[in-house]
Amino acid sequence: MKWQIINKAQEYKIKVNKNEAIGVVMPINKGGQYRVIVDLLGQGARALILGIIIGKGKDMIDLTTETRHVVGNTHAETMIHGVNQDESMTEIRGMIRIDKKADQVTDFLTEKVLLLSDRARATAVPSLEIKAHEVRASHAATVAKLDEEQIYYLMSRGLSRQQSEELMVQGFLQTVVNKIEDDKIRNQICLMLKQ
Amino acid sequence: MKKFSSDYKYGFHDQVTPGFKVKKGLSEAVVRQISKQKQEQGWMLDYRLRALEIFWAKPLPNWGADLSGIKFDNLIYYSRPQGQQEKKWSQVPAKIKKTFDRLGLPQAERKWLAGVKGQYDSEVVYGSLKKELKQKGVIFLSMDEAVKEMPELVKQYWGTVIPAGDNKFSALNSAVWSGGSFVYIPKGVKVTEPLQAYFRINAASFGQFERTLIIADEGSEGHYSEGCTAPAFSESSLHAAVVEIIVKKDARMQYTTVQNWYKNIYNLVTKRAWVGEKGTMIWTDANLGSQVTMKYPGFILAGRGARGEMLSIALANKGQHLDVGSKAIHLAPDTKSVIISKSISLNGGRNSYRGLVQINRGARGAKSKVICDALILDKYSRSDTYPTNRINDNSATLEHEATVSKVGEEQMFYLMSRGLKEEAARSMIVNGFVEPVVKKLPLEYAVEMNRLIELSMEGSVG
Repeated sequence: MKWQIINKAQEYKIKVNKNEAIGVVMPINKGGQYRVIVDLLGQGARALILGIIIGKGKDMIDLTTETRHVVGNTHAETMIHGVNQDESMTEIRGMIRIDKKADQVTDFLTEKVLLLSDRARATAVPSLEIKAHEVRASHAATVAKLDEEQIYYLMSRGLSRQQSEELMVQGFLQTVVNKIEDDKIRNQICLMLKQ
Repeated sequence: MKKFSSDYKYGFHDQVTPGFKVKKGLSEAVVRQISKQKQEQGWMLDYRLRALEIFWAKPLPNWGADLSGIKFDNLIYYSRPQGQQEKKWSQVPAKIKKTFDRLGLPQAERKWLAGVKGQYDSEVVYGSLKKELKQKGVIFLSMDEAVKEMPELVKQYWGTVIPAGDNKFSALNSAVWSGGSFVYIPKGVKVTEPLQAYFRINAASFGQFERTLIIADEGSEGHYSEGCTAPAFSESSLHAAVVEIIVKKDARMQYTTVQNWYKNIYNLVTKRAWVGEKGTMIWTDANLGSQVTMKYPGFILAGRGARGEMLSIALANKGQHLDVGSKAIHLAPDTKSVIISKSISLNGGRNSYRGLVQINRGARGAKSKVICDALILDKYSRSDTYPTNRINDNSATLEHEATVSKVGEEQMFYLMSRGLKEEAARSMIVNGFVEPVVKKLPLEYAVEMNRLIELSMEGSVG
């Protein structure tokens, strides 16, 4: 799988040809409009799109992803996890488009956001447009705060509240990072996250 | 492949001369004429005229279904059948009576309904309500009667949940509305059997604009249901209703729709409920007919602990586009909403789920769960999902799930290996798919629903 890191607020158009596999990682920690459009153009094309969003201050982060299956036997997965601190706001728009006759397609879209402060906000819009028949497509979105029970558990093991929260946020974001198979890229992202 | 129209048993048309109808097209004069016919007071005419201005000012929505086929100038906006609203079935004009007979209204009323309204084109032609309920103070009138007989009560709630300017079609309804029901359930009264309204469009190129207002006072309970049919004409007709519901503290209201318009109807309906403290609003919505439907029954959860539930089934057959969904607005703490939507697309039909969940700041501990599942039965059909989830409070929880799939080959193989024919197997899988929603319907509807789905599925290619 060929990997690509995207962290600039602009539009990216990515084409995946026959039997190609492309991985996209988006570590986003600044406000702005990010757009990633992935066209799966040839049979056997695969795409993995990963997003790690950290919103803080008064950041407004607007992320649009789209996977478009032009032909059959193409596969994609999009996974975006975000955390919002302070008064930051995230809007995630994900679209799965499956054209007519693009059969044997699978595509999954997940958008999860944790709101860490009282004034943080998030909007999740996971959409599907499906014109083919033999497909499996699904999406899921959740927006919530940290689970109090889990925090309680960690605190009962001797961690402070802050430590517990940090650990949970780290684990939440790490889920996405762990999907990166390329060691070099994964380490690079881990370093970015630590900062 | 069998055509839907051949299964449509309500496609007949009666030769009935209307008592009065306005000229084709929409204008201020038409609105004034309708108001004059109804001998309305000034406030209603003012309201209508203001709404007409809004209608003209608003553009057609640039999202959702294709509405370019609506010829606003070709429609008849008001057509009154002969006679008055009758309380006795025997007094209803013979031809209209025959229509409702064929739709099964009198039988159903005898068997299991608390009250009935039958609307024929623009006006309610028949109405009844059980004596016990009348004595308890339950009011079940046609909207026109209510505006005349209890203007103060109507004025207090009219347009408070759906203002004329909410959208283009609520504005149109506000301008030319006619018919519909007014329901008031007093404090603590529980109406256990459903109140039922039958809507029938008989004229061609016609617009039906009924207006319904339901008020469930504190601690009361009720169930209102409606069914819709129309004759098989080639010209399109328009149905643009507005339904406003007010559910007060601790009250519970259920609103069931079985929409089975003929495939020439543009069904553009605005439905919304305001729900107070610990109140519950349940929409159960089945969409089988119409050419185009755009409908998003919603609830404003305004009081602490208010609950909203939306259960919907949509079956889009050849030539149909059903753009349906729900809106849940959480304004208060501990509010809960559940939206379950099931759609089936076949023979080139198109289903779209379009929904909104908005949890405002201050709605502490609000919870919302949205599930939309779609089945696509063949390669000609289409399914879309467009949900918006806007969360502005960090103590809120939102879950959203959607899947799109076809009928599994393994499931089919299993059922067929047990001796079921292919058609029977497919219909069994589809019935299982909609089961979670159907079981929330009153029994009589559930039976009808399963039958309708089977009918529509008959002869379909998988």
